[in-house]
Amino acid sequence: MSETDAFFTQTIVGAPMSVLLGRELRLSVDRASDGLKIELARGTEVLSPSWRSWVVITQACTPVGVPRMRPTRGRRWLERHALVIAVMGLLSMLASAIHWSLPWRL
Amino acid sequence: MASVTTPQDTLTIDPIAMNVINRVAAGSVLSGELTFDGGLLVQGEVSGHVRVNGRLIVWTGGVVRGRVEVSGDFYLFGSLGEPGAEVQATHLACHGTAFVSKTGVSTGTLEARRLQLYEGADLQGPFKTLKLKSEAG
Repeated sequence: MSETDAFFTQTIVGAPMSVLLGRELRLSVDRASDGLKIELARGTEVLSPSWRSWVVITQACTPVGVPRMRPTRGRRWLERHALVIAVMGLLSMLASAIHWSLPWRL
Repeated sequence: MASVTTPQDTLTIDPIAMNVINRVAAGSVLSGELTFDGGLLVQGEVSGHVRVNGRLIVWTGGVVRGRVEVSGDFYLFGSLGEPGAEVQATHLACHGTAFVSKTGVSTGTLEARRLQLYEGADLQGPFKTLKLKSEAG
């Protein structure tokens, strides 16, 4: 998609957004038994669906159009306050740099 | 005994990454023989013979009726079919995965290769597994 198309797509369809799907209905409720599946014939290993969500959420780039587990309350709070936390971090770094550079100037 | 609750799922709708380049806004009504090249976001009403060459997202409050064919995934947050209408009145064939969210209502016939249902989803019509010709043989 060209830059012009992307611009018009975002203008007409809208910016990226997250929407809540709900709790997934599963036939199998025994998640504890799921894990790494190893095919003995081929020797290949596959992560079971229960673990895939966890793997996906820990990766930076999630597959397009695939639902993922809703982030926990703590993570949502951190995401909402990311800018404030970043500014506070920069200010404290600046304050620290000024504080420790003062004796050298004197 | 402690009860274990399944965590909720979220979907990030990125129109550019998902190639959703068409939108029927809330309050708009489209009817007839319609073909969308690329994904479609429905917030209004779409009916007739509809073909979507991409993903179809029916937003909360959005309605899709008639004969619909989707080449990509289908996400239902709104309504598929008319409430009270016959199940044959609306038929949707999805070549990918159909996701029916907790707000989704389907009164028509839903046919898809895979189905993912969420708690609270209202599936009133039948669901059929879509088999491609290459798989069926």
